[in-house]
Order: sequence, then structure tokens, then C-alpha cells
Amino acid sequence: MKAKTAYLGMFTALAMILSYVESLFPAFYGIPGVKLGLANSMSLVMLYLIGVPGAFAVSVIRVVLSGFLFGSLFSIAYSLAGAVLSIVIMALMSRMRFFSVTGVSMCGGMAHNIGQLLVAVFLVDNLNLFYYLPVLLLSGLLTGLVVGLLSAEILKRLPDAPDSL
Amino acid sequence: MKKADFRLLLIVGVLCAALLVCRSFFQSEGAAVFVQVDGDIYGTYPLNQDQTIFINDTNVLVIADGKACMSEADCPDGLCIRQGSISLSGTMIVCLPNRVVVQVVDEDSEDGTEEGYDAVIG
Repeated sequence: MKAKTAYLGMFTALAMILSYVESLFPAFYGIPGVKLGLANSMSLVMLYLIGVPGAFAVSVIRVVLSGFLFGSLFSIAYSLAGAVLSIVIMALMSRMRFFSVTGVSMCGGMAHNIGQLLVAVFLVDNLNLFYYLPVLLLSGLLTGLVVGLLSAEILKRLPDAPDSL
Repeated sequence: MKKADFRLLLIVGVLCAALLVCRSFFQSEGAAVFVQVDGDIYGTYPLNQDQTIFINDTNVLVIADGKACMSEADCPDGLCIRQGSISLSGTMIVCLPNRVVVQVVDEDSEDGTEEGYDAVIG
């Protein structure tokens, strides 16, 4: 139990650092609001190393904490919707064993953007926002690709989680 | 990467890119901007007439040279200002914190007719 707590804590801290580093480069892809989502690589690594509950915990805690530190209550709502849908889809996809880490990450990236779009449509009460769907799917796919390739490399180099977890 | 990963990347990537390219072909300079706040109609303003629109004391929309842009907003992220100018039909500026949606429509009508509304979604 203690070992697991330490493990999750370390990866949550790493995810928060990645969130922070990314917040220093706002919108450098030309589309305001689009981010690479580097922190998601930590959720992905957790998913493969210790399973769904751990990955879910790291995602949610990271979003809430970095939201309070670098964002606003408002940004937490959007990030949380994206993160939760993303982790659910990635958990399902990784269990199906159809895609490798990279494919799972691309699905997660798209799910993240769809989750945020759904919250936006609901909050703004305007279906016209679906105009952004193709752009969001494409950006989720590409950012998911980068994050997925990165996570695959990290997983290759990390030892398996200790048996005691 | 597995074969399935490549397929996913290729299929979704090509589909989305094709959709975006096709859509851009059908977009022309719009006639007016349709402003909605919280899902309710706020107003429609012609693009051919320079003006400044104050939206509920939260956002300031400026129309100049046939283009609309958000010049001021009290939201914390300021993303609506960074979205720049719009003039092509269908394109929009969204301010999520203030629930403001500004969209370019084809016809210049009082209430943003259903027609213009549907054409934009399709």
C-alpha cells in the first residue's frame, strides 16, 4: 500500500511538472487553446504499468491540482471532462489490445477533445460549436500521436512496477 | 507502432483533413455576424458597416473592414481575443467563460434565420 502511494505520488508530480512546462508555451500551434497534453503521457504510463485505477487517480488528481495552481476553476471543469473521457476510452482500448500504446494514446487524445467540446456545447448551450469537431479530432489525433510515441519510449525504458504494488 | 495504429492515423487523419479542405472550398465572405449569449440570440450585425458592439459588459466586438474580432473581454484566459478576426461564413469566435458565441452568417437578417443557421451546421 505504502509503495503504491509513493509510486502514484511520484507520477502525479511528474504529470504536474509537465502540465506546468506546457503552460509556459501557450498556443504555439496556431490554434488558441490547443495543447500537446504532455501530462497525459504519465496517465498512459500508469495505465500500462499499474492499471486503470492508478491511471485514473493520476489523471484526476493532476487536473485538479494543476488547475488550482496554474489555471482557474473554470479550466478545471473542461480539463476534467476531457481527462475523464480520455482515460475511460484509453482503458477500454488498451484492454481490447487492438492498438499499441500509440494507438491508444491517439484515441485518448481525440476523446479528450470530444469531452471538452461536449462540456463547451452544454455550458454555452450552442450546438454550432460542433463546427470545431473536425479540427479538434485532427488535433487530438496528432497530439495523441506525439504523446503516444513518447509514452512508448518511456515504457520501454522503465522497469516493471514492483510486485508489491 | 502497430499496423492498426497506422490505419487509425491514416483513416481519421485523411477524413478530417478532407472534411476541412472541402468545407473551406464552400466558405465565402459572410454578410453578417450572429451573436449568441448563453444560447440566446443577442443580435445580428452586418459586416459591411464598421461598428463596435458591447456584449453584456463582458466582451467588446469590433467590426471593421468586413471582419469581426473580439477586442476586449473580461475572461481570465483571453482566448476569444487571441482567436483573431473572422469573415468567412461559418467561422466563429467563442468566449467560453462568458458563454459568448459570434458566428459569421451568409444573410443579413434580423434574427439569424433558421436557414442561415442550418447551412452553417451542414
